[in-house]
Amino acid sequence: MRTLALAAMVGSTDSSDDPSRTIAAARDGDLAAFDLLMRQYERLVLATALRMLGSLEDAQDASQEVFLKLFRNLGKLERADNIAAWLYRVTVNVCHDVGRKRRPTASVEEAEAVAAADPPDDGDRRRALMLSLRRLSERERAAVVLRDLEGLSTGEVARAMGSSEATVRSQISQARVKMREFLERYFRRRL
Amino acid sequence: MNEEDWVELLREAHQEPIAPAHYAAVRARVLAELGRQRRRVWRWVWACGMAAVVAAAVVLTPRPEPVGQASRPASRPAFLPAQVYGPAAPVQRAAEIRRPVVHRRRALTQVKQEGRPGGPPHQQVTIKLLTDDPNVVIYWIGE
Repeated sequence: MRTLALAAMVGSTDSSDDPSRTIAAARDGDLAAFDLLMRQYERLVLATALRMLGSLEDAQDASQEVFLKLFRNLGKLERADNIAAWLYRVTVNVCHDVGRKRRPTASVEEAEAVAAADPPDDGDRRRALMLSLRRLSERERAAVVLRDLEGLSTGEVARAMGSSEATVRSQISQARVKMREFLERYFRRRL
Repeated sequence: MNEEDWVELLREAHQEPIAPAHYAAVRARVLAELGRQRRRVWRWVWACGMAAVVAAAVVLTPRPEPVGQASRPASRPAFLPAQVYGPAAPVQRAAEIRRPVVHRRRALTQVKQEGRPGGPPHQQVTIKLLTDDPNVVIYWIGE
């Protein structure tokens, strides 16, 4: 799981740059260095926000807020390996704030409207899965996104969400039950 | 479709790349906002600097003295100081409680006497003060 997260992060990183030097330059107010830093972590932030909020527009708003917070808090982040954990935590919090304002919900009726009349293919299943994700509570969704999609360990998820590992495990378990129920209902109607 | 399958499918969906234009849009918005904030800070710095320069100029510029104030003594007390009073006469203990009020009268009296040419050098003044208690009468005797 941890390897997956790191691989996803490193995938978008320019290995020729020293992250610590980039952070130091950005901290000194170098916007070009900060732009480079954003490029390194933009997938982490935007993809997480997208799964949390379910809308690209909201995810972009949340990402903007997260990176502005990062710029303001660069002085507190000394090491590059702290940034990913910090970004996950702030992304979850910002998405929580944005989600509270927008309140995205999805229903079986909405899922039916999205679905085509043909037998479900992978695209339909993915769409249904995304809809099932949106039916979860914010905490459950954050736990599933960070643990199952971003591949963090339970401990890392707990730190990012400011809760205990037991709580995270419970939230993931409840989330999976809800998603399974939604998917069963959805595909039963489809078939 | 079991749980493992749909979790894997969900992960695959999550790994689908997001169009680079969406990332670029976020970066552009962030950099634009930082630029705006920076300009705002510089505007404040500039305004504070100008205010400091103006304040320094106001303080350091020599001002001409107002006409008519040059020959006036620096300061004169509005009230005559205590040293103009003569030696205090022995008074009763009860009278000391209200000394400030009577002192002023005595001082003024004394100043008038001293300032009057040819007047008697020492004139005794007796002041009778009635109180709420008819059994208590205060006499002030001064020169």
